[in-house]
Amino acid sequence: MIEININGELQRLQPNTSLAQVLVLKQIEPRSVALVVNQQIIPRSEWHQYQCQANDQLEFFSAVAGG
Amino acid sequence: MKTSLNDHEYIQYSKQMLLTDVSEKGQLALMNATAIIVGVGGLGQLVAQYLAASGVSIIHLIDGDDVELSNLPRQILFNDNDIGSNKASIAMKKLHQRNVVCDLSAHQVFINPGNYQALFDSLVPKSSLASGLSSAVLFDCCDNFTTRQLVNRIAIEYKMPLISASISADQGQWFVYLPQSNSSETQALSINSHGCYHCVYPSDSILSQNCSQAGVLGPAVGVMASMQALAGMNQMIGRPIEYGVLHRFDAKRLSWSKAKMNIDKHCHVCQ
Repeated sequence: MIEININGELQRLQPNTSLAQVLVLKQIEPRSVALVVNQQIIPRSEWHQYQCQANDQLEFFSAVAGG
Repeated sequence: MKTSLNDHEYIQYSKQMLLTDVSEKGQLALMNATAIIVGVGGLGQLVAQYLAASGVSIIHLIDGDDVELSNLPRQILFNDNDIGSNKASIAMKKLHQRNVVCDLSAHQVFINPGNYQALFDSLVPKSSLASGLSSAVLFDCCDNFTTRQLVNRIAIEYKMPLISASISADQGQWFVYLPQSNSSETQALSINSHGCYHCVYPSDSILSQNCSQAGVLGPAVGVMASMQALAGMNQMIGRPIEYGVLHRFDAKRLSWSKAKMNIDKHCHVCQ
């Protein structure tokens, strides 16, 4: 198991877990969020390939469109 | 093109020019700059006020919306007498009264895929883009996701630096990017490295609510508009800017965070 940080909370994951799998695990609709890993926005098209590493700092948030 | 300041202008803009990396040169850059503001609501009416007051030469205001009573707590350029009138038109008149040398124009239209080219062809002649970036700076101050996607496309198509901000409830976001340029001077900062709005939020994204649905406090809008106006002025003056960085503001905790944007190699808008 590895530990990562998701929006400030520790999360234990199987090694080689992808970002797409993290969203499934957290029951988050992929189209509703942007994902940041270690202060880098990872485009949605790469979420299946990107494998979480120990101590990754992961954040997800929604688009904001008001003004 | 303006190349010198008169005595009145020296006094009027003296506090801006006291900044050593602004100076007279930076003030003249502002006084030769063009801003295009899409959306003259909470964000746009404040951005326009700051830009006009700072001496920006030409400001185009684009909005088909009318002033409503519920706008007044955050859209502080407007008052009761303006309710029912077009926002771009009212903003142009009021800003012109305060800034007589500023060349303001109001475009009373909601831009959409069918009408944007006619408008932007008249504002940003494509013949002027052959050598690189447009000298006009585009401000996305609109209030919906569909228009934000279109503004992103316009910035790329017309090679305009995009200064985008948004706010809903207690969450604000802003960023600046440069579209791809033929100029060697800006190539290293081109969109190839940091992508575009669509790379972060593909067009099928499911969104948070907008201001009208989620509510917002006036000063939270003001914070985002101030950052947007400041970033735009820095771009016009030629001060260093972090391109391709998404800044997020939590208006409840009063805290900021940021993340680097990255290109989506499959993005059909900027690739």
